[in-house]
Amino acid sequence: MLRAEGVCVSFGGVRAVDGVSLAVAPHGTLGIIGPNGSGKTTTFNVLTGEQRANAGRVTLGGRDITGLAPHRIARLGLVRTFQNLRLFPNMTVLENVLTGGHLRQPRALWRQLLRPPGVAHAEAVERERAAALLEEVTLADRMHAYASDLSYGQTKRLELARALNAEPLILLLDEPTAGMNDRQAREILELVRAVQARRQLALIVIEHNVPELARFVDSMIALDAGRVIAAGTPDEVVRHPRVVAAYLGQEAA
Amino acid sequence: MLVARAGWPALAGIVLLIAIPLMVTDRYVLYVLNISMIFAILAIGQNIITGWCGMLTLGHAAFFGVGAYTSGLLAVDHGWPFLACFAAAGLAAGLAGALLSLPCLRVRSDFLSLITIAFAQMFFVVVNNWTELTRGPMGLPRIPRMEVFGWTARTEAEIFWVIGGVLAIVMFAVHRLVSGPIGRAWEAVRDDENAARALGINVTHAKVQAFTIGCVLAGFAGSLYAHTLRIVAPEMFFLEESLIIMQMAILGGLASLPGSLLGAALMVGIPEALRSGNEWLITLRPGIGGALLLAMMIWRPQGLLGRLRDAPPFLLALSAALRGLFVQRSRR
Repeated sequence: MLRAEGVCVSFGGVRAVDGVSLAVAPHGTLGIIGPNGSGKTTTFNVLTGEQRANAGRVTLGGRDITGLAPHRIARLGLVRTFQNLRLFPNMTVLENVLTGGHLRQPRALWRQLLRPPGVAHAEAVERERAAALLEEVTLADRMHAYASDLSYGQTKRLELARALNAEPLILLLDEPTAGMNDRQAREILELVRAVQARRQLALIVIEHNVPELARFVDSMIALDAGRVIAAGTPDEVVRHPRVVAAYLGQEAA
Repeated sequence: MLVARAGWPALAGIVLLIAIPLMVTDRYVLYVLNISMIFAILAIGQNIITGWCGMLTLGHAAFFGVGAYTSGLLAVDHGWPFLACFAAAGLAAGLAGALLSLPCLRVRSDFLSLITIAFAQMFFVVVNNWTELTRGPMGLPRIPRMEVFGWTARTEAEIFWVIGGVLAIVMFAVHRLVSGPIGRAWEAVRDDENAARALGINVTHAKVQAFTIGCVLAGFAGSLYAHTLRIVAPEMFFLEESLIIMQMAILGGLASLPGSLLGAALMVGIPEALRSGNEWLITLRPGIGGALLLAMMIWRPQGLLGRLRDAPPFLLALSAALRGLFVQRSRR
């Protein structure tokens, strides 16, 4: 459903992404691995429109979305989370999740000013829905706290709930377990797995925790220095000599 | 029914609105309250732009002026009835705001603060020099009183009811906007533009919308001002006024409606209360607002009734700088 072909991004003379191609099927799950600076997040940024590609093409369900503005791509169902958390700190947990459902909500100025019965009802439905999502990510008891008052693990779950409320067709998670200990990482990946199974969404995950990732994606690509060095099933990719070399090389250094 | 939907604060507000002019007999006090309420509308407009949507603008007085001159000129030169002048004032200021913000906000919001200062200067130069239209520095006198469906507001109490009525409607409407998806989009844009975009929010649209609504309110306030003072002159809308409006919004509290009321009441009321023959007070008066703001920037950068957890970056930077300058030095 989502396909990228030959994507290249250069910053000055540096080729951050160099001919990356990837594809994810409807309901499919794709993992992206690679050492730091290998172009994983830049690839994400191209998919979601935040970064313009110097070359290559991105299509969603056959439609060319290369170079579309980020909010337009989001409206087509491609929703992401960020590696360095990007919550709305001055809004409550509930308001953060409600904002995820922005596109569903009646936004015409006159309707919000006059609030005919349908609009008030829609807001009530949205609030219930957001509360249910918070229940799902076990944050219901923090609903009215400010997002900036949450613990690190909670913020990650809130970002997931907010993204889910946008009803994505494809969810892109950028290092959902970064900075977590093994137990927390396993919990959040369990949660992601459950959420994905329940909603049948397609999922693309950038993750450093390769063994955990390999357990639940059906395909994987490995990047190094902006290039795809291996692609296939998780097993194939993890055993691929170049992947082993890239990871061992990094650890040796 | 009304109480159930809008809550007790709304009912209390309406009762106060009706009762205050009946209880307060001092015309001067009522006059000060009337001016405070006009500035409260301005502060709410500024707060939508700065508090809810996170944009720094320093030219709000110019949009206030656009409203005041539009309303005054239509009434004096063309004999339009007050309500038509009032509507036209909001429209003209809103149009000016939309036309000004659209090109800058497509690029970056930082440009907007610069452009608004430039606009404020241009507005001043134009009304000061286009004497055939605006009467220039002499001002535009003999603006008719506010009149609604044949009833004319003559006493300060009657003027209070008109301005208070407008303020109540503005607060009600703005409360509806900020408590729903529109306000959430503004706040999302204020807190993190990239995250807002990633959720499908059109950031440019949200900013232009907030800016334009803020300007429409300034236009309405301008019309009320013109028909209350019954004269408008260029220096009433100088850059300094913009700073005062910004101070009201910040002092009262960003992203807070009661905060804007309080900010306007303090910034209009304190200088009036200190009006006296004492020479030292006359010298000190202009510094009071500045001193208040300075103290607040240091200890409470989110404002007295502010709702924000963290003040916006430009305030935090200013606050930190001031704290460094004053507090830490005095501790040595």
